Amino acid sequence: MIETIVESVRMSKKPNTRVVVLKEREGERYTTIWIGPFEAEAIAMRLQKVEIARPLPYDLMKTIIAGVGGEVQRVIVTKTGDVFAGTIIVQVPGKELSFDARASDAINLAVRADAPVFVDESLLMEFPSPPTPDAAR
Amino acid sequence: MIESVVESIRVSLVTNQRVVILKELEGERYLPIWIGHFEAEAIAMELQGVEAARPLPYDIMKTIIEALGGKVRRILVVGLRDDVFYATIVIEVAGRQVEVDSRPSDAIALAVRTKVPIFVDESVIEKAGVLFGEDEEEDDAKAKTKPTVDDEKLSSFREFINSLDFSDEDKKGNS
Repeated sequence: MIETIVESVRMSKKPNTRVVVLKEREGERYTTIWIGPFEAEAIAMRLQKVEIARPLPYDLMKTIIAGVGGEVQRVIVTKTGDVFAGTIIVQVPGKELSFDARASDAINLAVRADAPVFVDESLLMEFPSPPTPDAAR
Repeated sequence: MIESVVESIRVSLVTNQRVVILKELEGERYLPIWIGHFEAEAIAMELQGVEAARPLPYDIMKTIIEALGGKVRRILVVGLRDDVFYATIVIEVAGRQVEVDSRPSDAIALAVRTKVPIFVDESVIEKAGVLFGEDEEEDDAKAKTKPTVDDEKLSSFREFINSLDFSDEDKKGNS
């Protein structure tokens, strides 16, 4: 598993579709994930440090996890066939618990909890230039 | 606090906005709350028994709360200020109660999944509650019997509510 950072959220030509670009933290490889506009907006708002009047579901999720005594330790993005999936790892006293999630939700939670995003090395690709949404598969 | 249930999710054909309608359990007042498409869809899916292919944020919240030994007890719609509704999610964990600030839409999406009661503060229903039915005359008659509701103030709101389309067809209008 390789640690990545959220490099950007981009528009695509496809309607109602956005792309989140993850970049290897210590390297130049990228991966691109198709996500919905709502989830993309929520990631972008956090990255742009937009002040929001009311908590979004991901802010709520973070508060709830802390409220019941857990801490988001990291999230993992995997791909099976054409489908991306996320796993949220929550640290509680003495153990780690894993929760299945959509990749977009896991990333949204990670950026709010300042938790790292890990991806399988097979998902990372080198791009001749910074990736464009058209390069997404 | 007035116990309420989710009566329906409705779509405005004019603006394509979503409204969740809460109805008091023992009474005839309704509380419409504007919510986003995503949240409306998440509430509707659960009420219709539609299973999402992948867990939505609210499914994850429920799973995490339960895995960490907590239990959602109830949600409260506590306030309405400057046209913004405020809600609280009450979670019981390890013998104590945790209250989490939330938008009503998120709280309701979690409430329908955890099957907990929804309470609305009387002051919120007084401010934003409406009486409406399929028969406008009947509606007016009811309004007159409830002196706490200012019929004149609500008339434009009622007009709006009645202009909403209640059929399922318009869900396809989400573009």
